[in-house]
Amino acid sequence: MTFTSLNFLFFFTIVVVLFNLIPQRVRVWFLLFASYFFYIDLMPVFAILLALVTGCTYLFTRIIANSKSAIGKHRVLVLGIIVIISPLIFFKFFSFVNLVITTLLFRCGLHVSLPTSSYILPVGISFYTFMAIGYLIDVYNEDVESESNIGIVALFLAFFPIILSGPIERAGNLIPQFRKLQQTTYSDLVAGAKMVLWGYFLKLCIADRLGLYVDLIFNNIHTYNGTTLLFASVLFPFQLYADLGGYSLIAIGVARCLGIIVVPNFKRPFFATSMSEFWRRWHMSLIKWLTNYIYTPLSFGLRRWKMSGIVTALILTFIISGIWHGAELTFFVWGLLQGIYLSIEVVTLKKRSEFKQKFCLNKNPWYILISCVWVFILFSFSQIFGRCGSIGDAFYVIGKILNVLGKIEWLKLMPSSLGLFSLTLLLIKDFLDEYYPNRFLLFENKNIIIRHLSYAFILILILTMGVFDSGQFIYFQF
Amino acid sequence: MNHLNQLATKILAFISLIILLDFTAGYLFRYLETKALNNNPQGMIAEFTMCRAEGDIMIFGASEAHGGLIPSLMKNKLGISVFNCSNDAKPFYYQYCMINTVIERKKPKVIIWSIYSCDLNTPTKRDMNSLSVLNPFYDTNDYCKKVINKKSKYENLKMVSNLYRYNSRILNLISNIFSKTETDRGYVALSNSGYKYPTLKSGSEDCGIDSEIVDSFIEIIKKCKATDVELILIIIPKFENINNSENFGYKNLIEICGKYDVPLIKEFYNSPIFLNDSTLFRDNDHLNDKGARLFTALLCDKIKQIRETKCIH
Repeated sequence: MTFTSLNFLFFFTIVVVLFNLIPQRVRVWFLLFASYFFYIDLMPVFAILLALVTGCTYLFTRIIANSKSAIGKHRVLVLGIIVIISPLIFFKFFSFVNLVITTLLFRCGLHVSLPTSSYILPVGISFYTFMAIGYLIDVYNEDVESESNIGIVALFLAFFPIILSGPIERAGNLIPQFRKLQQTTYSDLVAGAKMVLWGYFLKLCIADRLGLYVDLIFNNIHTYNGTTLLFASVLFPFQLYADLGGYSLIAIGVARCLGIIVVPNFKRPFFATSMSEFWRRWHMSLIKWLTNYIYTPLSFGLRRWKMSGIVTALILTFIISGIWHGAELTFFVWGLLQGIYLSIEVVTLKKRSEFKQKFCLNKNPWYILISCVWVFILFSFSQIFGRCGSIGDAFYVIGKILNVLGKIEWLKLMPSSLGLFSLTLLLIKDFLDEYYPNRFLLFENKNIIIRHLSYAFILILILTMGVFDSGQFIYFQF
Repeated sequence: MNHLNQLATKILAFISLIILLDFTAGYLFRYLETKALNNNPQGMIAEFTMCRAEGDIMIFGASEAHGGLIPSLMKNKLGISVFNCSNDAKPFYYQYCMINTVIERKKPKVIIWSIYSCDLNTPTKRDMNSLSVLNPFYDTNDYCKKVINKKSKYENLKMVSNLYRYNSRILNLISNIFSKTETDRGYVALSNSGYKYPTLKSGSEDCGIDSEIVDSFIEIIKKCKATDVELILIIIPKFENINNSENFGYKNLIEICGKYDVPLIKEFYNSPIFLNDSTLFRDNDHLNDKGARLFTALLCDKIKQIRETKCIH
């Protein structure tokens, strides 16, 4: 049952209706049941793992909260993090570590075969593990109180709209909402439904349409010329934005229909004028998590190194982010590139600010446009590593883009051309929201006719242009 | 209570609006479809085959037949009219709908069906998705309805929407209203411009079979027999040397043809005439125009031979 299946729409409708009919005291348990039902439908066996991680998180947070000694608390925190992160490391990195060790031993002349694991990655493990660790650290730092109701902790980690691909929520936001689950209000329902509708549009009409072309080209990199590969590389960030952005909006909208407010994940990222601003707008919940629990402690620890400490912390944080995406060299390079981009920006921040002030560039539309395009180029370049199956393929693509030009395969683009139309709509909407907020409103228009026609228009676009059989969201693999 | 009434009214109004728009869109799409079919029938090959295509011999198959069999050449050799109804990348169930519909609408004398052993295998998700071209016929054609319902258990629900039936078709319809595809009664020559001649692939193949597909296959064979339509199955050459000795699907195909006495022309597949000359192919899977001419000529001789043998018997 994925978000784009009819099964999910039935499930979601039933959950919302029942949620509003049952007494308040059982709502947590009802949502917990619905969440586990949703997860078990996807991966029955790994629901046990989810329950174990939940049990450990509950146990360690309770011990930390009740512990009197600071050293004891710290020890429990370290132990808790190790225990909670172990399954993630096992499932995500076992094969990679195995391969590295075997290769190293082989190079040393030792032919040793290590035990192998053929398990698939439990869906959502990266997300609920991060949420569990975040909760543990927040309790340790006394930012949130340890929750005594295990049902609420379990719901926090298993909440069905966000368990598969985020947004990565913090206990401080969700747990208090779970403690007092109210009936959904009319405005919540409408706001949620609008987000769900727009999310489906992003996923079905943009991400999956563009995916037809991007996947075709990237799965046959040896067949296509450099110009075609370049075009696919340009389209991929848009596909990713519409895919994860669409998923996030559906997740946030579904939660909103239950009266729960989940943090946003994207804020018009392609209108960022610097990489640091881009990362404040792209996959915001992950970046916030990394900032709070990796970058800040690291940069604090390295504060004596001054600028070098900041640069090291930045690079390390993004390398961790890359490795979080997958145990591949491609993701390592992807993370490294983000770290380098941001480090250059940090180092040159003062000079760039002076330059901008001197020539009054801050509000110059041409400067903003060039900056946005430059940020997009940098990000698209790094995403070649994120998209290719191996580091060799990534360099092959880059080499071909630089050396082997030719005509774009327009015919192959035909099935995706409807996606380009939808993408144009998205970019216009983002542009208006960015530079003309509260003007040219459609979904939020005060005129009911315009509002309803806007919903109908998007629904028609989804039905006529949506790709209904593409299957999964890209971030499910992470 | 007022609050609930207000909500219910709004939802009802919105649903009414959607139904109205869907209904209107259905009319619009059907209009566009007719216009496209009138302007460029060859570009709307599925609709054209369903509603209008005629010929004493009708050819069915996927891309290998689309660019592999030349109707005008066949007409010269066999003296009867031929139409190539093949459509690129279309799986067994598509052919099932087309053949059944054509037999009922305009009974041809001969049906030539290009088939491979793997066609009897369980269809992939991609195969099933490619059947969406049949969606507009859901209400009017029982074969299409049967096949579309195999896609998922909710397909009948999705088909309530006119817009969904024409999902992803808008550009195709518009382009066929404004452009014309030139074909030789369905045949489109494949050239090697931009393509190198392929290198020979070799290996072995083992395809499974799907019992539902086999049943449907036998259903067509029986229908042809019952309606006195001569069914000839062919395996079009590919530029690959495949060992089929362990191929379950291949063995089954031969067994079914033997059991129901259906001619299966397979001698040109894996034949040295084709395997020794890469210039006959556009790529490993498709003959080019030169290859199609040679294959069509050889096939016509073989068909003549089969028909003469039948007359003697």
